[in-house]
Amino acid sequence: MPHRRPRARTHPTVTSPTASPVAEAGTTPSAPPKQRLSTAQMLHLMRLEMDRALRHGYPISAVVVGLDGFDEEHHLPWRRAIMPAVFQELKAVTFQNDIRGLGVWTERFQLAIFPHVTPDRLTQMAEELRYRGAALKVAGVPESETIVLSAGIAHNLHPGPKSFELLIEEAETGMGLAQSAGGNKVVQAREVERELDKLREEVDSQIQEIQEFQSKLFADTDSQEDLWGRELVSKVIELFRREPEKSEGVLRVEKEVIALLKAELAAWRESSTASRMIESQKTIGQLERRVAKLTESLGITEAELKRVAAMKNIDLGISSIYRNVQGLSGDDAGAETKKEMLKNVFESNLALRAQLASLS
Amino acid sequence: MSDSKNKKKTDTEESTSAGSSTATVEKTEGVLYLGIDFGTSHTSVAASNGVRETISSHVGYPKDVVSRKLLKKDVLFGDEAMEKRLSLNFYRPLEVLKTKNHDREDFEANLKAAKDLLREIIRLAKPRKDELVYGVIGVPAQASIHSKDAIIKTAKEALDSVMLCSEPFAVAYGLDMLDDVLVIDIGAGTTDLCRMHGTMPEDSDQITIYHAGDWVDNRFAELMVEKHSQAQFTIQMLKEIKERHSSVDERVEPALVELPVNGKPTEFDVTSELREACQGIVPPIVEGLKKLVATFDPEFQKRLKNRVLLAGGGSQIRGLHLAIEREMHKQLGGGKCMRIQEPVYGGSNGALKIANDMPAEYWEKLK
Repeated sequence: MPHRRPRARTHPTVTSPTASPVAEAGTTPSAPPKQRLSTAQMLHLMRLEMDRALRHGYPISAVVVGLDGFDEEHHLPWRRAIMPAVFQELKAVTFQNDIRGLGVWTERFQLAIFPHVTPDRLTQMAEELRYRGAALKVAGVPESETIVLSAGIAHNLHPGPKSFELLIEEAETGMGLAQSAGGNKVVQAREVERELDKLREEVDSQIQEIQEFQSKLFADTDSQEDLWGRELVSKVIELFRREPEKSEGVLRVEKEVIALLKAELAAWRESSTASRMIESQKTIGQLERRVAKLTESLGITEAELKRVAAMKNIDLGISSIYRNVQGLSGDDAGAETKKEMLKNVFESNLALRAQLASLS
Repeated sequence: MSDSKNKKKTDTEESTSAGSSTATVEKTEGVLYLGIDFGTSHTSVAASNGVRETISSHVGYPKDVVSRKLLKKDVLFGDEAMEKRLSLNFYRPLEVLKTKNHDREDFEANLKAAKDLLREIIRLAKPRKDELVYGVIGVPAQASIHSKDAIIKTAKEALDSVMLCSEPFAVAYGLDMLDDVLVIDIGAGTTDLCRMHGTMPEDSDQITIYHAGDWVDNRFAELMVEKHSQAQFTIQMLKEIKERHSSVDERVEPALVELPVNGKPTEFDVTSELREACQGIVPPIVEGLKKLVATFDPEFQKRLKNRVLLAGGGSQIRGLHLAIEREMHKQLGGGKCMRIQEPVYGGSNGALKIANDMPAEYWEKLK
């Protein structure tokens, strides 16, 4: 059997019209002469790469890079000069990192995808690009103008729906988030959302903690104290019983001692409950302040997300009025009949699924 | 955001079985319910985020590169598709899904169109990516198993759990009329008659007839050819006239419409032709009702006759409920027919209510 020379690279060679790390396709009349494929052709290639990655289950990451500022009309010629230069920097960064991908650029943004590249690695590369961008000098752009870049990263290493459109949309959202947070940042939108989820979970668990704390607060301790008080009184009574012959004086003392003991116990219980309540109130206060803070933080982040989404024309959807799965209430009119019908609907769906499974 | 889509918390507040008196309540990150009425003529959605949308069940794909470039879209839906149908490969997918004829040349293309339409109506409901989305889809009773399979598969791409139910049942459930009710659901392709008697309707409780919206259009066309032979028109033009002027009342404003005659717009009075076409569906509907009443428990037949619900897009024909009552008087000796308040959303509202009432564990099992 002939000996096969092992492949030098572990990652596949991406179809690339220029055989450079990032193949490019500009969209303006001033596109550099290296352009070999149109933007539509390049996007088609990217889509194919994405499909291949999904089919074979390997990672693919995307980056969308935007230029911060330069939004006025008179900035347009500068943008046209800067964006191809930034694209060259992106190519240089990918070269240095020994990575290949596909990319396009427009006056507004640059988009590149990298098969077999994890989001963390691409984030590092984007950071590198950001630093190189800041040091970039472009002919025709005044030196006083600093080039600041923001980038959004997206990837396919997550559960849930995946497509080329979603990948790009997420990367764009990341770039939008980075720009709206002051720019000069690299953001993974999915990470921000995960952070939001964590915040939501934390708020929920704090609320639950307060509820549990409140419900348990006096339930056990009250009954234990009652028991202990009753035992104390019984022991005193027992003590007096040991005296075989009780004089009138002893009897009077016995009554007085027991009455005194009961009064003291009641007073002690009252003061101990009050002090415990004060302590508990402190804890509740602390927890509630924490919840308020977390809720506020969650609100700000969500508002920010909405703002960015509106700016980027991303529809985040409308929230449902329900937080929980509802289910039929037992109080509903005709609840039993409805339950039976719902069960029938469910069973017929179950049977349908079974039938479909057997057919396939 | 979709990370949290499938995530569920385990803080179950009440964990009793679905069959017991208290429903299971499981906390999640937010639950969006969708009720979808997948009809031949129109597809509607009602959602628990307050969104209600309806589009005509038309799907079109640009015929060639030129039209794609011109339309700037890969797929068009609803009225937009209808309007630009000449540059499109145009489909009315639900019409074909009902046929059960999988050998049709265009069956696969129609199936794809149905999938795209379902995706679009779900998109129109604006679900958030971080919410669980549970949907009940009202489908035509005659939809083939192949079609149902396609609907479920497509819905599962966008929904976390999905169930199908019959359209007239959804209408009755939505109105809380589950006992001794006859539902007439007049769609475009078919009219479904369904008898509700406190349990799930069985096959013997349902009758499907083909005297529905499309039948009226065709009959109207025949009458137009007979009486106004010089007028030039298409079925689509007549459909638009019907949607605007349809009535079975004797005393209505004349339906005066402009139709071309040799290229020149000419006014025609089509009142009587349209009325005759609309009236044509009344006797077969009442014939069907008669069968359902006659085979019902005699003790409850009177009650059944007096609880007839008129639903579906066809129920918007003016005076139709009264015409059905008159025909019932002739054929059944009496009866009461009520038109539901929201014919367009009757099915989707009902499906939404079913979704809302469905216990959590049922949804879980159908994921």
